[in-house]
Amino acid sequence: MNKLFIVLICLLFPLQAWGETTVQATVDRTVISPDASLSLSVTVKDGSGEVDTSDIKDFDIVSQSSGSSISIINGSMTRTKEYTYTLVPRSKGTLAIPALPVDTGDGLLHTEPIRITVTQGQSSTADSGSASIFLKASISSKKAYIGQQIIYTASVYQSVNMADARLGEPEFTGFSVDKLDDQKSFDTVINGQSFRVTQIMYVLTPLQSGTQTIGPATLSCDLMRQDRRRSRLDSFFSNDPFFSSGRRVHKTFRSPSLTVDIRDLPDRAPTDQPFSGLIGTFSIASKLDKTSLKTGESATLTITISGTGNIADADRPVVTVPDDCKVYPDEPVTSSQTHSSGTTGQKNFAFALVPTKAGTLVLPPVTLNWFDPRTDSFATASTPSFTLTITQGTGQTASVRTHAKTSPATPPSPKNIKQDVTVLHRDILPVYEDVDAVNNRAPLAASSFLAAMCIPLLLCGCVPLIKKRLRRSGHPSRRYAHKAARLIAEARKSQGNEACTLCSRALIASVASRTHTLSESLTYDEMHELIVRTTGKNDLAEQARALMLTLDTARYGRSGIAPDQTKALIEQTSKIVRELCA
Amino acid sequence: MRITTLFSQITLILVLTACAATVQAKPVTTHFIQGVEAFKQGHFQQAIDAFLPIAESGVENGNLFYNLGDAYLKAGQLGQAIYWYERAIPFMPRNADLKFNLDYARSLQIDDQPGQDTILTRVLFFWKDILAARTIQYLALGSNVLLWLGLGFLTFCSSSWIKAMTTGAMLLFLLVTPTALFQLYHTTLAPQAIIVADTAPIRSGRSQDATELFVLHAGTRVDVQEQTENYTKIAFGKEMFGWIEQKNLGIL
Repeated sequence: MNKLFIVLICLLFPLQAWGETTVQATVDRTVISPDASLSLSVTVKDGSGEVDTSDIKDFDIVSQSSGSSISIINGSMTRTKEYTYTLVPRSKGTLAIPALPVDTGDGLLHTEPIRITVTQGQSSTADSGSASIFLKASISSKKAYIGQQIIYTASVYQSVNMADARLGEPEFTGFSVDKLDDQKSFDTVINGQSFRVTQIMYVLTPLQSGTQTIGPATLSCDLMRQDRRRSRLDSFFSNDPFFSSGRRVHKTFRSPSLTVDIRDLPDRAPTDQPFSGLIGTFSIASKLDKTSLKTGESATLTITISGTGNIADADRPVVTVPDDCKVYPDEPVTSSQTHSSGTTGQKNFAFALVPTKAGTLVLPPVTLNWFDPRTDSFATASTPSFTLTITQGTGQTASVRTHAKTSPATPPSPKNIKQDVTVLHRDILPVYEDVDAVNNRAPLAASSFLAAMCIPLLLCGCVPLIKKRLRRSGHPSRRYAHKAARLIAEARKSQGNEACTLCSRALIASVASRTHTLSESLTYDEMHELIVRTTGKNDLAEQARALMLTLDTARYGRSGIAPDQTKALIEQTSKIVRELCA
Repeated sequence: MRITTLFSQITLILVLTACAATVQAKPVTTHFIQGVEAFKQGHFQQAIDAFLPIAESGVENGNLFYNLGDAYLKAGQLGQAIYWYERAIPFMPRNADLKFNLDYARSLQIDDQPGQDTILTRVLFFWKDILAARTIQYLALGSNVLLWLGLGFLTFCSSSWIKAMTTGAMLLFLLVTPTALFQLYHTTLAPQAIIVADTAPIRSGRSQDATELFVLHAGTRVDVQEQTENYTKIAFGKEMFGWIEQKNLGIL
């Protein structure tokens, strides 16, 4: 519990627990063989700092790492920052790791210098596997011209497995470097021992003359050091460093340095042909898509430079044509591949030729001048000349796109050659002059629009009223006929005296539809007379009078009326009403 | 006899009104022609002085607004130019000249304009990009009348062609009326405005002492949220709000 409390306090007040910052440099051994590596550790206690290793001249630093830790011993906390470097000696003899400055922020501290003895045959780790791995470097040519491509190959030979292998690229000072993506692997036998060989290649292009040194390539890896006691399981996994027993031993291997004699290009003999800048082996070819055309039309001349070397650096060939022919060059298209023999490929230059005058047009040969390192001399090749027959066209000049992208497989066709429209100036379009512009075209205001939208709705709402009004204001005969029909309909829903009353009123309304005058009290004789006068039907008048009498009897009689009789009276009334209203 | 007399009187009044309108239109036409001539001769401020009174007299016409936009743009007043071009759009939304000139003016605008219409708005109210606002209104009114007439007739008699006419009118009504209402909503309830000054500070309050929140430049379109006598509260995008002096703003 007390310790936990102390830890918490220390975490809360870490700075107060640290003491004075100290630095220390240590190595894992002081005597090594030339092909071995040593580990240098610089430890910064109770502080942080940056180690300056630029003073280490006798060794190459092939890898570095750092880590930090905090330890608490008897309540005293110590923070440690450790920088670890893997050093490979550059020469034999007594070498020195000088005092290394460490910038702690508060000032510079220095480590103690260390002396390392590098002797042949001395190896601090007598690893049986180290002889089974080695690194070779080779170059395709020890003499080269500026601009000439040479191939640097680093070959890793291994007869045992290794882990965490990292290849340190050499310093290619004075060269431009292009690393090949694909690496070769194959098996070989040396002195009866089988090796797996992995080759990594670089295409180097010298940039300056003189003797150039290519530093050593380094290979750092972990090898498995076998324990003396081996189990049966170990033999099963013996080829896998992850599973095999034993401990890992970090090793570093170096290839020898190489020197290359870089020379300037020799002087050229006086010639009219410009140097293309190409160094290697090249050829030139040309193709013309048609040899007869009209003025204003275009023909496409394609010049192809192919070969091995710095093909991408080829300048555009000079195509010389008479003044009465215009030349529009396209963007060149390069297709190349880099492999163990250098860069091989071709570069296509397309030219659109537009003759402006009828006649015969002769295209002279196009010459390519390059330097061939195999013969240590400049070489020249030319295309054949072409003769074009030009006839008079329609007078229109072909439009040509000057920056069209073309592929070597599909040279630009005249049909596809179009001109990009470019904006020369920007301005607005002018004003309108039609005086109609002074006429008001304003849309309706919101209130007007909404009111106008509501008018049809209101009108539609008035339709029932209109309908009713129309019905009311219709012809009296129809009005009374409607009334009679309505009374009959109501009588059908009623019983007894009420039904008789409704039938009586319906009968009178039907008579009124004939006379156009409604009289609520008609005598039987008056009814008879009106019906006879308006219809001329005496029978109908008699039936109506009899029915009226029956209805009144039923209405005012004390005995009442049976439902069946009511129904019969209603039907009889309905029949007479229909005849009167017809 | 009485009807004949009344008809004659109404005809006379209409003829006299038309003559009066013609007499009144003359100075307006003259102003317009003077403006066009001034523009042709490169006197753009004179063109503005000729066109502007016509617009201020209440004439609303897309061609007139377009001409004002041209004159202001040539006179170097970008904000006013975009304002008048924007005002012309509802009158002639498909006019290629207007679109060309407005695009050119917009290319000179400094502020990055956030998008105004959403996809839903553009789909639902697509008529506004095709037809003039007035045409949309008349179509809405016409379809409205036809729709209710058809419904009214259908209560009296059931005719197949009346049913077809009513259905067509209803479809047109449903297509056009929302766009008309949307445009009215923007002109009355949620108007937009254009910054007409070259530089317009947007402040936290309605005074010169209020904190300057951000600055807008000529031609930028903003949403109007509230208007007072001298200041207008505007929204630029969804997150920037503030008050701007009325003189720096042209409400569409």
